[in-house]
Amino acid sequence: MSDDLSRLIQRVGLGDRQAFRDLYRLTSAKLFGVCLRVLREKSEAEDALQEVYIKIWHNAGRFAVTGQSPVSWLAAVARNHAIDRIRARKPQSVDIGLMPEIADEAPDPEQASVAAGERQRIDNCLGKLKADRAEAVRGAYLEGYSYQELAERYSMPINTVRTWLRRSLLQLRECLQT
Amino acid sequence: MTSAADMPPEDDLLAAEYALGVLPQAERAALQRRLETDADLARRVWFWEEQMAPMAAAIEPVEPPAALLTDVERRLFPAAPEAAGWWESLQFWRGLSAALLCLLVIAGGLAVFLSRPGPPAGGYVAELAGAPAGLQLAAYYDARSATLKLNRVAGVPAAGRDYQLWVIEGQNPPVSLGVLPADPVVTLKLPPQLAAKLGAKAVLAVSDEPKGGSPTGLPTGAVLAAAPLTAI
Repeated sequence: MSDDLSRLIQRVGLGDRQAFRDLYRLTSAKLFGVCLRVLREKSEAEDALQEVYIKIWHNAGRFAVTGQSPVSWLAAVARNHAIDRIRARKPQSVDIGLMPEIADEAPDPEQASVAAGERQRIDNCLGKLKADRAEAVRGAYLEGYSYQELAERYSMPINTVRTWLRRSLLQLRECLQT
Repeated sequence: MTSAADMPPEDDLLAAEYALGVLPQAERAALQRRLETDADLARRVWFWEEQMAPMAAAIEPVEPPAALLTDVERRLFPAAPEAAGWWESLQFWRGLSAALLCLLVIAGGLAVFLSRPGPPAGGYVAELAGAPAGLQLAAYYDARSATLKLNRVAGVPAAGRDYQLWVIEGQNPPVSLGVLPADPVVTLKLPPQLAAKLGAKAVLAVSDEPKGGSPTGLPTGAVLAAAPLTAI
């Protein structure tokens, strides 16, 4: 499946319309799910999905250089677009300002061959975080929560949320790379 | 791949925050502008996106409305006739070898018949293919405009490495045509001194080099693929 998708994306990058149609048939339900989850409104998610596939058509030639798996690449195109839309819809005036320094203890990170077999790691690594922090990372990823929304949900100042979420990301990185 | 150790920790965290999607709009937009020029930062974003993507498995697929694909196609291809250039069609490149062979046979026959060479050719192609699943590069050279079009169908340099393109005339040492940009489809306008080296019998080759290209001016790494230019 992954190899098939890679090939389809490469053909789309070469302007193959049939490949584009096939890719759409195989992936549109998943990507619509991603858009709906973040945007929460059907008509907006439909508009977003159209734009997502327009981006896929135009950017497919660059897929190979990212070194990503096809599923990750497609999910990132959809999520990034949906998040851009929702941030534009709900502009945030709060300036979260400069962050306090966080000690970066990862000594020699990332050997990162992001082989397909390693991809379920995120679940294990999230499991090593405190439950509320793992939940915040998952919520941000799945629902598209911003720092502002996380601060409201956890009733914490936005800078505090950012500091602890960044700590979680550092811990995740360390875990993902070992 | 760029290691997080090679860049400011702040940038790696920003890449993670961007991939997660938590940044406020202004910071998000600022980072997107940086991504256009900062390849190291882009690689860190790709790394984080790749690592986080399995979380999307928790998202239920939802079938979009049936008409949506038609709407997308209408926006992408407003005029029904094929707008995608022949250049970008893989079919074209696949068919080319067969067509070339026919052309060569016909041209050869004509040349014998007329007892003189054919008209000066303006177009050349080369198909560079390395090891299976390795580098594949299609090249089209238009001598009249001195432009070389490259379409990298497969292959990405290893971390900290670049692909470098060379032209080899006969027994002469290779001459660099430059490092291949990240963009798989590129058009290079060649200066006259390089353009003079391209033509029938010239060989195009791609080697694996340190980032930024060979420090010596000659290939230092493995030659990944090579093919002669053939007139069309």
